[in-house]
Amino acid sequence: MKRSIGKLVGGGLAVFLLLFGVALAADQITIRFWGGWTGPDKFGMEKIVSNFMGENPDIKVEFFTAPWTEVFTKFSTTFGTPAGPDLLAMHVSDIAQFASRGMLMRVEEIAKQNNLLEEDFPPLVWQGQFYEGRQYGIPLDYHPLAVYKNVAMFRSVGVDPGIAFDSKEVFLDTLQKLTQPEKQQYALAVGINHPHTMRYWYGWLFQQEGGEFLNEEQNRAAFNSEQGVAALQFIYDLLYTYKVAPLHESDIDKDFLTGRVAMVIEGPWWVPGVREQENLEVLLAPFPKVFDKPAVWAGSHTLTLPKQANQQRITAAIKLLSYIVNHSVEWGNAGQIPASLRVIQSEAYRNLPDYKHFKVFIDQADCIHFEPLIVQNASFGSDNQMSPVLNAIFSVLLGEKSAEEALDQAAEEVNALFME
Amino acid sequence: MIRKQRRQRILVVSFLAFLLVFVTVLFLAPILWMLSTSLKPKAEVFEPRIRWIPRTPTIDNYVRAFTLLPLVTWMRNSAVVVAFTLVLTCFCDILAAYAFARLRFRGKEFLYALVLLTIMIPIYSSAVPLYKVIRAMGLIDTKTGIVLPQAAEAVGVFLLTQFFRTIPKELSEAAKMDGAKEWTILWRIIIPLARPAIAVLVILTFANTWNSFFWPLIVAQSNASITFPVGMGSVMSGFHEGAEAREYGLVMATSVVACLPTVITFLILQKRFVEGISMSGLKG
Amino acid sequence: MVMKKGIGIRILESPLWFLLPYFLLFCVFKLGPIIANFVVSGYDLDIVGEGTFVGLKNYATLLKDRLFWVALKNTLYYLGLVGPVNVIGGLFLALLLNHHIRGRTIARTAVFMPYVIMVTVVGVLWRWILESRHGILNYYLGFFGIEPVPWLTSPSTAMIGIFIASAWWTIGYNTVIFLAGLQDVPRELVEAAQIDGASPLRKLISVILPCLRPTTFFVVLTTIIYSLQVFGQVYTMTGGGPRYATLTVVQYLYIAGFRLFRLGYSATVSAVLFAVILAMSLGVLRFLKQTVD
Repeated sequence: MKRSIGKLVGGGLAVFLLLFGVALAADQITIRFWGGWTGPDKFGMEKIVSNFMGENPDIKVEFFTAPWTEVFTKFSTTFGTPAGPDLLAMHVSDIAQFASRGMLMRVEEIAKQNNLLEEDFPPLVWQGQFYEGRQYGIPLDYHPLAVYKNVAMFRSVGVDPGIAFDSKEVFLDTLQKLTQPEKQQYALAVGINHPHTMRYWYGWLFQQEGGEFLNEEQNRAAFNSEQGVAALQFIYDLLYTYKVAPLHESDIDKDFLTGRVAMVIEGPWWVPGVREQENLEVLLAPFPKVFDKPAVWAGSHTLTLPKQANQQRITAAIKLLSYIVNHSVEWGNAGQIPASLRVIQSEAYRNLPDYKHFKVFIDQADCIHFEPLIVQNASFGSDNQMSPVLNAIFSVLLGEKSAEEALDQAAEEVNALFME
Repeated sequence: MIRKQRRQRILVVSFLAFLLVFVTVLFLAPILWMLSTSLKPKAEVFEPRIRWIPRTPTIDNYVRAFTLLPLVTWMRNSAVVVAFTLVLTCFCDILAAYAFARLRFRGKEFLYALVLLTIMIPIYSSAVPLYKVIRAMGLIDTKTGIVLPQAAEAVGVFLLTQFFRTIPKELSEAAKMDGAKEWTILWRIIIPLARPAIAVLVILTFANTWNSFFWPLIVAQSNASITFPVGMGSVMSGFHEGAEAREYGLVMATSVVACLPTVITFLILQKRFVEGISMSGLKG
Repeated sequence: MVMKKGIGIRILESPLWFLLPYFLLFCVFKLGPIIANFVVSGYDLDIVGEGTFVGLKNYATLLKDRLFWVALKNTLYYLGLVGPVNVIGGLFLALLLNHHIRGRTIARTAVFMPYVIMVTVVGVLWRWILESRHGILNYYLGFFGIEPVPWLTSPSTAMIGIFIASAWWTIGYNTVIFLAGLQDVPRELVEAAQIDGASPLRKLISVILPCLRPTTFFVVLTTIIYSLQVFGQVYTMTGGGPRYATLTVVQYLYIAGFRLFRLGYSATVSAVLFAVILAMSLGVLRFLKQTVD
C-alpha cells in the first residue's frame, strides 16, 4: 500500500509540474516540426532550429525526429488531432501518398510570398514538389549517391585514387585490383539487406538506353525488361562472378570505415561521419557510369505543411520553413546538398571545409532520377522494407533466384498494386 | 552397502549442483554481457577478443545516452503512465472484485465469465477500433490515451476476486450484524486482509505497464507521451540510417537504465512477483 | 438480527456502483473494440475518412495475399520452435529447481529474471549477442570450430535467432507455473512410490506428470496463445526481414494498419488471428478432454 501511495503522490506531482509548465509557456506559440533524420544531420537541423528560435523569441519549436517510416506513421496517426506536426519534412517520393489523401496544404501562394521561386532551384528538384499539377512542398535538399574511395587502399595497390569510373571496363578493372581476399579486403560493399542496393540498381537501370522503372502512364511495371535484368545481373556478378564485393554484407558503412572494403556508395549525409574518422583519407567520385549514359538515383527532402485550421500555427510554421531554406548553409555543413541555388552558390557554402566532396554530388544534378512520384511508391519504394522490388533484388543477391525470375515476380506484385 | 548408496547420492547431488550452476550461468550471462558492454568505450566494444571485464571501463556510454537520447523524457512519461495505471487499476479492480466476490446480483456469473474470457484475447485483436476510439476522444499522443485501455485489463479483477472469495464470509456477516455498510466492510475488513493480493496486483501491473510496448507504440507519437520501450524501439528500428543503433555500447547503457526499475523491484520483492505469476496462472 | 436498511442506503450499496468504474473502462476499451473489430474488418478504412463498407472483400484479398500466408507460416514455425522448448524446458527447469540444493534460490532468480525485462531491451540485447562478426555467441561457437553464423541477416537462420532470444526471455514464466504445480503434488503419493522402490524416472512418469496435468494444460495453452502473438522481438530485432523471413502475423497487422494505412485490412488480419488462436485453444481443450477418458 505504501508503494501505491508513493506512486500516487509522484504521479500527482508530475501532473502538477506539467500543468505549471504549460501555463508558463502560454504567451509563446509552440509549433511542432518533425523530420526523419537520425544521423549526424539531425544535429545540423537542430542548430538551424535553435538559431531560428533565437531570432524569433515568440515562437517555440518542438523539433522531433524518428526514422522516416515512423515519422509517417506518426503523422498519419495524429493527423487531424492537436498532436500532429505543423511543419513536416518528407521525401518528394512521399508527397503523393499524403497529397492524395488531402493531408497537405497547397503551397504555390506561400512560395511566391516568401520569395521561394522556381528559378532558384534545379528544375528536376522543383518538378518533384508537384502532385497532379499542384505544388505541396518547398525543396530543402536533394541527395544523389557518390562513390567514397579509401585513398590509402587505392595507393597501396597502385591505382590512382582520382580515377574516373566512366565505363564498365575501367570500373571492373579497378574493382578487381582492389580486391585481395587473402587480406580480407574487398573493393566494394553491397549490402544484402540495405535499401541502397536497390538504389544502385535503379541508377544502373536508367543508365541504359530504354531503361525505365514504370511505363509512361506510370501504371505498369517496366523494370523487368532486359535492362532491368542486366543491371541486376551486374550487381550479382560483382558478388559471385568477379567476387569483388563480400557476400552476406550486412554493414556497408562499418566495413568501409574499418578498411574492409575500399569503396562504398553512399549519400552526401555521410560526409560528416567520414570527416570524424581519424586516419581515413577519402576522395569522392560520381556514381559509376557502367552503361550508356550517366544516371543516378536521388532522393530529395522537402518541407510540407500539414492541413490544419490554426492560422497562427500555420504562419509560424511558414516562417520556420522560409528560414530553414534560406539558411540552409548550416544544413549543407551537416551533409545534405541544399536545393536552393542561391545558397550553394554563396560564399559561405563554398567555404565549407567539405565543399570539394559536396561538389561531386552537385555536379550530378542533371542526371538524377527520383523514384516514381505516385501514391503506390509507398508500397514498392526503396524505403519500404516490404517492397517487392527491394526483396526481389535481395533474393537474387542471396543466390535464391535468377534476376529474370525475381524481377518478373516483383513486376507481377507491383502491377497488382496498381489494380487495387 | 550404505557407503555405495552414499556415493550414489553424492554423485547425484553433485550432478544436480552442476546443472544448477550451468543453468544460472546460462540465464545470467546475457544480462552480465549487457552490463559489461555498457561500460566499454567504443573502440573496445568491437575488439575481436571478447573480454567480460572491460579493459578500460568508462561511464561514457551512460553520459552519452542521457545527452543524445531523451532518456529523461522517456522515463518521466513511463513513470507517469505507470502511476496513473496503478491508481486506476487498483481503484476499479478492487471495487469490481468485491462485487463479484461478495455481492449478489443478477447476471453475476455471466458478467464474470465475460470478463475472464477477455483475458485470453490479445490487445492486437482490437488495436484498430481502439485506436479509432482513442483518437475520437482526442487522446492520441497523450499519456491518458495509453493508460485507459491498459486499466481495462481483466487479470486484476480475476486475481482479486479469487482472493476475496477465500476470505471467510463470517467476517462480513459479523460486521453486517453490527450495522456496517458494504463500503465499510470493503474498506475496513476486506482490503486489509487482501494486502498480499493487492501487493501482487500492484507489482504485476507496475512491471507490465513499464514494459508494455505494442499499445504505447500506437498511441505515443512525440516526446509528450513516448514511453521508454517505445523510445528505445524507434531508435533501433532506424538501423541503417541511425548512427545510434550501431553504437552498441550506447545501446547497452540505455538498456541497463531501462531495466533498472523492474529488475530492482524484482530482486527485492521476488517472492511476491513469483506469487503473482502463479496466482494469475492457476485457476482458483 | 439484521438491521433494516433504508432504500437510500440500499441504492447506494447496489452492486452497480462497485461494478461501474471497471465496466465503464471494460466496455469502452476492451469489449467494445473486440466486437467492433469484426465490423471494421468489413470496411475499406484509411487513416483519414470514414471508410466504405465492402463486406467480405478484405477476407477475399487476404486469401490471395502472399505476404499474409508467409506471415502465418512464419508464426507457426516460430510456435513450432518455441512451444516444445518452452513447455518441456520449463518442466525440466522446474523439476531441477524443485530439489533442495544449495544455490537453488539464485538459480530460480536467474531463470526468472529475463521475464521482467522489457521486450525492446531483449530484442536489442540479443541483436548484439547474435551479431555476425562481433556477437558473443558466434565467438563461443568459434571454439567448437563453427563458422560465424549470420543469425539475423540470413533468411534461414533469422527466425531461429528470434526463437533463442524468446526462449531465454519467457521460459521463466512456464518454470514458475510448473514449480507452483509441483508444490501441489501430494507428498504421500511420491513417498509411497519411493517406498515401492520406484526409480526417479518412474516416479516422474507415474506420479508427478499425472498430477501436473492441469498445470501442463495451462502452460501449453498459454504458450500457444502468446507465441502466436509474437511481435516486440521481431520489431526490434529484424523488422520482419530479412526477406520476410521473420514477418509474423501481428507484425503484418501492424504494418498494414499503421504503415500502409489500411486499417480495415489490418482489422481483418486481427480477426483471422483471433480465429486461429481460438481454433488452436479449442483443439487443445478437446485433446485434454479426450485424454481424460
